[in-house]
Amino acid sequence: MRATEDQLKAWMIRGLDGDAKAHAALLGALAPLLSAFFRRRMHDGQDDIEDLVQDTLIAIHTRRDSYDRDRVFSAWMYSVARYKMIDHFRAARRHVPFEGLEDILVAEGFESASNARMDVDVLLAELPDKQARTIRDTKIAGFSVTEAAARSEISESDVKVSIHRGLKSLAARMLGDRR
Amino acid sequence: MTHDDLISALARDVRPVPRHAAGRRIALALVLGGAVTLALVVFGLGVRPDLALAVRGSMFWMKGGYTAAFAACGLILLLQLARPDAERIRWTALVLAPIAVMAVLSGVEMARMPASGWHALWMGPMWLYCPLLVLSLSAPIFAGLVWAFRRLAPSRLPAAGAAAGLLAGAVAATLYCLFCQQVSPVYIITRYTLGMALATGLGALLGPRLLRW
Repeated sequence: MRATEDQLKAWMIRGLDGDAKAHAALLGALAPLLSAFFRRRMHDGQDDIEDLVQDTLIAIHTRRDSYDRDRVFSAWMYSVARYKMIDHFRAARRHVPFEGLEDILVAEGFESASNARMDVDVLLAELPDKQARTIRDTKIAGFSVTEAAARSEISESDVKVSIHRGLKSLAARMLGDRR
Repeated sequence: MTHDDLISALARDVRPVPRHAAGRRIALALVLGGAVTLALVVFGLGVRPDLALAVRGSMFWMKGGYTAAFAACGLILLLQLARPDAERIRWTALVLAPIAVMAVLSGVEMARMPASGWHALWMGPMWLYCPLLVLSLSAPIFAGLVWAFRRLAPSRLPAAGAAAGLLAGAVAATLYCLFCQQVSPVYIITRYTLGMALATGLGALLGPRLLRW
């Protein structure tokens, strides 16, 4: 079964906390994803592609410090893969078209998990904490108003008002952007 | 070696990584490299003899503030460029702010003196002395940042090298203020800016060689 962004990110974060099993599970799940990523973009032999997969796994392992837990994992992972691929072509003195990260995420099927969430995160970051949290809980994580109120330790009407105000100012902001 | 062999070998070495690990590594590099540069300034060049008096004047702090502002810009850019998914670099234009402020101060200074004195103000004897000292003093800090990047993943190597050079040059210039007695805004905007620009340019050239992974 194909791993999702949430699953990969959970493994990554447990690995960052020192959980070797989660880290091994992460690398194991990444190997086929990377293999598919490179095969789709390169016409090299199978051996070259598998070498590049291993190179990338090593880089993902040794450069873990550069991953920020608050960001999208698949975006970080495919950026490492893209860098390794460009470096491979550079060594072979061939040129490849530079592919935007968003295009990669769409092509690899991580669009919904990454692109959209990045935009939502950017938008929500502009709201006061309480509004952003209640919107995230109810509209994204799928909690009910009652559950969201319990999570934030505020009243239900406070949750409703916060969501209402938050969505209103988001709408105003997006319409403002378009104008 | 099969993938499974590689993965189990890698999984044998899973040290915990704290939050903001990239920032911590860069901060450590700045402290260590900065300590070397500080020692070079104090024991190599010597602290300006009138330091106790100078710290009471505003010009000393204005000069330090100018270079420290560039250090802040360099740090903001470097933290972004340490990640492989640095697509859109933000806050680049921030470097223009200190330059604009210092340009206004330089204009005021020039307006207050006869035009015949301008040439000496801009060039002066040994006008390259200060920029080259700043460039040399930035080397230990730049080396520290290159070390910090061994665990980070820049994908835009010339830009990452330039940001590291800017940060190293600006920190070096700030420490160099302990030695240099010049306070003229024109002197600062020419010599100090040139010194930091040289460090930035050299960083951009060295980036692809030193930061490759």
